[in-house]
Amino acid sequence: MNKRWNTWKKIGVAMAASVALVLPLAACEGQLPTPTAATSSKAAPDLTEAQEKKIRTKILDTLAKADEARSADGYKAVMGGPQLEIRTSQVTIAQKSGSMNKYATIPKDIAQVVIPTDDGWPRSVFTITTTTEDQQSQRLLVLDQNSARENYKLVAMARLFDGVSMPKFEVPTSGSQMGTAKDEGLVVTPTEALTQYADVLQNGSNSKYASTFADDMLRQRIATLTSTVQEGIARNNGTQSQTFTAVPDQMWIMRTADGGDLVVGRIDSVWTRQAGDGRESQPASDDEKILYNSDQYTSTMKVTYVNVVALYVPQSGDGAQVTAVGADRQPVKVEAL
Amino acid sequence: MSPDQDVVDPLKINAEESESEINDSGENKDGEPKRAARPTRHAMIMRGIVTPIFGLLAVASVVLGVLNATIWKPSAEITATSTITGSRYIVTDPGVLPLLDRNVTLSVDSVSSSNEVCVALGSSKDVAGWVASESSYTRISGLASWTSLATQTGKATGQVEATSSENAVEFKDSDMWSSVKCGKGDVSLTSAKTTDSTMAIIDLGKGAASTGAQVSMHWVRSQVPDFAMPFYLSGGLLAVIAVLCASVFAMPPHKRRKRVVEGKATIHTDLSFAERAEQGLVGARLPESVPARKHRRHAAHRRGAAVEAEREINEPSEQVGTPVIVDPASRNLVADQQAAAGESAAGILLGGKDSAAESSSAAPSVTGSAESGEFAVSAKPTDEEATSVITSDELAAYFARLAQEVQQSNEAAGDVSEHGQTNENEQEEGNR
Repeated sequence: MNKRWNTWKKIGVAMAASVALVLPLAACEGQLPTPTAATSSKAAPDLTEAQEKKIRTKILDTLAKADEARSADGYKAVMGGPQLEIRTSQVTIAQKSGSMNKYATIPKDIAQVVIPTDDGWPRSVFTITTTTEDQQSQRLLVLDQNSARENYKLVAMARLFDGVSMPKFEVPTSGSQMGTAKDEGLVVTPTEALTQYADVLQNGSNSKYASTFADDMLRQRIATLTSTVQEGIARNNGTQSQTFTAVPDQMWIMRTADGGDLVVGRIDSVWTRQAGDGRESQPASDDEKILYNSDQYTSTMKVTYVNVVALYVPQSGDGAQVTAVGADRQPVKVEAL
Repeated sequence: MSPDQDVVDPLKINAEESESEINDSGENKDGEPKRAARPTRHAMIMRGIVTPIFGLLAVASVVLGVLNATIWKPSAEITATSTITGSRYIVTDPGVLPLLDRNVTLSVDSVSSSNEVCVALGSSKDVAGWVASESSYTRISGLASWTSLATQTGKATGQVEATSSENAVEFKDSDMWSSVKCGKGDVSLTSAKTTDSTMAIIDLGKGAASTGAQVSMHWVRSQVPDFAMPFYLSGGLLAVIAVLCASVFAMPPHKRRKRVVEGKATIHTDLSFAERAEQGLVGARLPESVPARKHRRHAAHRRGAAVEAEREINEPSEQVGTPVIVDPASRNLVADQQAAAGESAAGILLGGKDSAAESSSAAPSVTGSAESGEFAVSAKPTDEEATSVITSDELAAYFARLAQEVQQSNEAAGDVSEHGQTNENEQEEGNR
């Protein structure tokens, strides 16, 4: 009896042991996976092309609606920087003239987009549109996101000069690096480029920086305008002066594929015209006239302009010059002093 | 059977085997008891105990394999859930969304149904940028188990100050999200083709941090781990082992030894004339193939090997009557002739001092090495005679002429090496 009991006990132990061995083999989902951090060393672009298109379309649609309503109220949500002031001035003029300035047109199709790879904020996307329907030159748009909790805004637009050759950028799928105001290894730093260009605009060929910059359309136009106005004012013994001031705080920089910088910045200018011989100083253009919106003239008229310039600053080298590739210019305020 | 036999003779092997079998069953010298047809103890253990164990293991493996392929099969659908409270924003770590599959559905069920809950997908740096101004947020860092999510508290970097409310946009209006979905109470968002850098961010709404929400992630695994196949494989292997245990491993070890290796076909690797000349073997008999020492190892294991070994010692193998094979191609005629001509040729050669010294020193050493070979066949002068194709007179005349030439060249070039001479000899002979 005892022997049999022992046998049963042995069998029981054996069965328990085999169950204990087999049980871990049953009903298993596999090893619990752990997330692996992305090991890609290359920085990814901040946006995809589709995202950029979505953002740009949203901005342009809002602009179109505000333009239609001839109201600047809608602009603030999608625009900032110099473009907000320029556009507000344009819509104010349009309220009187009945139509938007033809230079305010922004085509919806694009030729190129430059997307940054930088992690932090602010971030800027540079977009070059196609030519307009009336064959105006291409527009260079700067969309800027100031912080993570804000959305992209159109902060600057420059009309590219005819026949200008733009620097090359990295393709949007790999992304470009944003430049900084103090980038080294260039002909001049971006901040210097903007301030020196303001000096060139003010003094023309007499500027000590004139040789740093290649000749361009904006310089030529301002020089021609100044000399024409000068002729008229000189006849009645009046004076005129134009001061250009760079605003380096409103500057957006993108690195080009060849190591240079494309700098888009704001230059404010004040044009003071004083008529002599007791005459009245009057607006120089229709835009100025509408903006002045009064018949009360004095001997002195002060017109404030907002200029947006796009400068290509190449890497320093023999004979390398900064080239202005695009610009926009709009009177925003006309005062009689 | 002689170990230096080059070609395996199957008939002979058979004969040998039958002989050894006779030894097995018949009288024995090892002192083992005479065995009848009864299986050995070894065979009984192998067949009675080891084979059933392996057989059972094989069956068990196959059964486990079938179970793992059916009722224990890992489920393709995985849903992990966690209730998260304490923060307004919940973000997934990079790599958590595509953890099990690139298609994932993220569902949020807010405890309070009055708040608007939003779920958005964005790149890791955008999501990090959004929560950077928060004092704290919750991170979903992975799976705690197959049914629950692991969470951690994320600390803000503190470098970014909150944006002024004037320009700030609502969570759902941000440009950064590739897709966003909002709803009251519960929202679910499906992310397809999720990349490693895609992160999900959940906004529970203002004041919803205390109430919290239940977050669940649902994947349909396209690749489910296959646990059945290893069991099937090991089952097959165990079955093979069981069969082997019942058959081959149950045999007495001596029975399953290979016999064929006893007589190994070897290739005659006789040295060329030039090589032998280098080693100073010219004039000596040709060395036969090297005695195969390793063959003896197998012979020693064989039953009755002692008897055979004894026999081999008593009667040298060569006398067993192996045919003498004469291969004219591997014959060194010059050497043969030298041996035959003997002293007369050597006398003529004495004219060249170097060669004479070399030949006299080389001859004994070669003879010694030939003798040391256990089974070397001693060359018979009769064979050499039979295969000589030139008369000794002709050869003597040749050597005389050669000696003269050597002397002349010695005078001309001063020092001519022994090596060069022998090579010249060979060439001359070839011409003839």
